[in-house]
Amino acid sequence: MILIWGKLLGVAAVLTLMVLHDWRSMPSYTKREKTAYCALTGLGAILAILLVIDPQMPGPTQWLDVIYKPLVDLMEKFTVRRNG
Amino acid sequence: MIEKGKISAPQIGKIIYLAITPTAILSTPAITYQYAKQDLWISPMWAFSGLIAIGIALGFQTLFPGENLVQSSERILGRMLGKVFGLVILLYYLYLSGIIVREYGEFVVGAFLVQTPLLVVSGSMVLVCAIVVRSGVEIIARFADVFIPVFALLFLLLIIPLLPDLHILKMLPIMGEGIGPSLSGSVVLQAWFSEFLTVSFLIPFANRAEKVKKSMAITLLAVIVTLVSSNLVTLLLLGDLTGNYTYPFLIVARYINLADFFTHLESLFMAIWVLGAFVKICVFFYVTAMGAAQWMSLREYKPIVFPVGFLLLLMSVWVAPNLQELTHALSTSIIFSALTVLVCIPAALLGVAWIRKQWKKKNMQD
Repeated sequence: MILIWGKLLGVAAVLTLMVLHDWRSMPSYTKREKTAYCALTGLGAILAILLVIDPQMPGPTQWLDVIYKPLVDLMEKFTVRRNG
Repeated sequence: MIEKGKISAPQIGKIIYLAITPTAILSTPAITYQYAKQDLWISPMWAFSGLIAIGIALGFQTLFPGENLVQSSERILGRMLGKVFGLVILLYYLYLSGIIVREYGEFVVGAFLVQTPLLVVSGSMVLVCAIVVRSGVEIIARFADVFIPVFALLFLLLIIPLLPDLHILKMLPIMGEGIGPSLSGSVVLQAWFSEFLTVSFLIPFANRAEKVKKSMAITLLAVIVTLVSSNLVTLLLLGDLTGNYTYPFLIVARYINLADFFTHLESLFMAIWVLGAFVKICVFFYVTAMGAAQWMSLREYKPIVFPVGFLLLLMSVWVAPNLQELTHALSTSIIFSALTVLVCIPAALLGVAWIRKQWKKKNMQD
């Protein structure tokens, strides 16, 4: 439990440092750019929290595995035949 | 224009070379060996998807000069569908960048910095790359300019001392079972060759776009020659053992021993790898950040570089739970997804655009 809180604190620290770094140049950004910045940072924060809570969460690789399962099966059959 | 920098055609060639070769030298020999066996060194010559990807990028360039793939797709498919396609391409580039960062981190941690946490290694790399990406495409091009000679020199320094130890008999029989094994071994490499499509995002910044064709031909040839020679050296030195290592070329570099004086030359390989991976991550990161900015029709891409970098770092954690899963994915679903997203879909788009153009021409004549 403490480990999880520590990691969450780490994520928060990284995000804070990032926002602090970009804070000075914020006034020169257009409104659209600010919205995009907030949206992407928010997305990153949510993903980071999810990954801290459940590191085994199925990711894009697993999704692709599902999509390409028939082709992958075919290829693996071939590998087995080739390597005995 | 979202990017004011201009780069030359040879620079584009160098960027693409460094965006493909480093990880290909590292991860592919072991996977290719499982299919091709002693025809390992022939496999890189079947670079179909590289040729097709370059053809697609150049084809888009003649139809829609000065625009990259995502922009021209909006013209072909209309706004809504174009945005969907753009999102797919961008997410895929983000995913690929995550894979590359993870490969880099796993290699550095696995082979050299054993005690360092993976996140520290990949995090520092992403931070450096974010700073470079913010500086613009010209800076990436200059890095490629500087690193290419170093890359070539270090590569030769690794290969030349090994020449006396190579056993030429290990490559026999050449094509003992026809071209089949080498062809199926090259399936893995198609994922790397399809990354040639990245050039489509760089051509709009070329100061003389007509010269890109020649420099891409040279680049494709250079990539093939590099992979053939690294695979050949690996095969002639390790023979049947090639498939047993995750990073055969690293083992090759460790083997070098000149007069008991020059040893541990894998640090040279490490240098090659870090330089190459650095440029590679920069290019993919750049394409993702700039494409995302275009997709959201921002005035500049610089503001979103750091948030995209953070997502990239998370993606590198998310792509695979461990190295085995990553290698497995590299030899299976990533190949097919790369071929779909980077070759098949753009080829279909180009076909649609071409037919439309012919249609228009015909209607004009009538």
